[in-house]
Amino acid sequence: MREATFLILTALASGSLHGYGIIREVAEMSAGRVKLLPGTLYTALDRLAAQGLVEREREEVQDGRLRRYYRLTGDGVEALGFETGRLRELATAAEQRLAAARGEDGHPGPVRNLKPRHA
Amino acid sequence: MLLRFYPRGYRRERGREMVDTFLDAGRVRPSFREALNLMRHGMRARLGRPQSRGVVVWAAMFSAMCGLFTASAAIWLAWGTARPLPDRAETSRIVGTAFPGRDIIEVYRSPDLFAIDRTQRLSVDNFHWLFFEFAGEYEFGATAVRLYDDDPFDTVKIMAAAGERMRANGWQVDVNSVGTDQHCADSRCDPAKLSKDYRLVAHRDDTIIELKVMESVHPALIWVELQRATPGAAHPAGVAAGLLGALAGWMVFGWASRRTEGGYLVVRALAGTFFTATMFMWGVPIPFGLQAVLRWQSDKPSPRWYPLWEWVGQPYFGWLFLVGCGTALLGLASAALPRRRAFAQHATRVRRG
Repeated sequence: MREATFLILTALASGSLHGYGIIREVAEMSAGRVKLLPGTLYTALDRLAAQGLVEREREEVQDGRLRRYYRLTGDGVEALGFETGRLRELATAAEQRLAAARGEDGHPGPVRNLKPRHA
Repeated sequence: MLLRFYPRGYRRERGREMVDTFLDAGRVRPSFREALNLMRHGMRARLGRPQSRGVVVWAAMFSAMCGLFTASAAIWLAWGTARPLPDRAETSRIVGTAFPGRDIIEVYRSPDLFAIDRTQRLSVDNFHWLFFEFAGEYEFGATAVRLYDDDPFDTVKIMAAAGERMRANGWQVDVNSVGTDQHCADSRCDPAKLSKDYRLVAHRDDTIIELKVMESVHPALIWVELQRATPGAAHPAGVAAGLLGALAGWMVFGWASRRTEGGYLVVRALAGTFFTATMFMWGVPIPFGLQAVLRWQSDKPSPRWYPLWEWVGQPYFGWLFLVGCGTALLGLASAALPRRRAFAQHATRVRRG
């Protein structure tokens, strides 16, 4: 699953959102790193809807603007849960190896002197 | 305006929502990056089938082929802006530059810049030849001259002198080579004694001249051929028509893809079969064309490249191209068949999310 897709599903996990709400939520979750453009968002929503992971909940007009709200389907919740678990496992494995490399388990580790690449 | 990159049904369904999303973000006009993003995703939306990645690959291939064929057609038309082949007077002047003092006895001039077997002008009457017996014979025409000497001459000296004179008169010599197409059969044969082919190619403005002496044919016979260079209009015409053709191919493919999405199984199977047949008929000649042109270009280097239609295997495989056009039309006709109402509604619902 691509990061943008994962973030869209995550944004919808806490409740239904309209297009701009999803864009805002994704930007907030990623601390401004991922800025979804409307073209990308609606293509992703089309794909997720075709996969049965997202569905339209309702639409309303506020201040003369059309807002359609989207929510996760049962399959969407399941897919997000599966992906979250997968990412957690990977993150855990990475943390364990990093801890070993930094010598937090008492061993000096093989890569103590490595500098972060983007310091 | 940018929403026009999306198909009409999509705009009707999503247009206002997308515009209002921009307005919610406080943007009255999309930035350059946002505009590009809308164009890209709009073109993707034209293909339908949001789940499929393969559809993008097929659309790109189909679109590229359409672009190559329309570019070829435009380049062929642009050749109409080239000057006719040199006539007898111009030929005499040019040949007189390379070989002063020699009389031109016989001039053969093809009827057109491109001709079938160099002798037949392409016309309504013989157009069908391109798809059958003379498919591979549609080639560059030339004004040809043969110069005789009674006795064998020193070819190296004569060709070198001709090259020098041409350079002095503003010609650029592109090729001046000596080779042979003969091979020694056994160790008693001396390769140095094999008959040689001398070739000199030069160009000035829109005229290309080729001088050849083939010792195996006649040691004292100089073949001179004059042709025209690719006209300046050919490149912009090819690029513009190629882009337009590729765009049209993408749109047509997208229309057929959206029409058959979620349709009757038999309709999808028919459209898929005709589409595959079209890709086969149009695509198979391309590697053959590429290989042939690269071989010709390497065997006989020239300042002018072969026209684009030769690169895509045309008109040698013209009949395959024609059959491909037929299957493409049948595929489009299949896509135009009525869609099953339930599927059409389902497709709309899915798109709506």
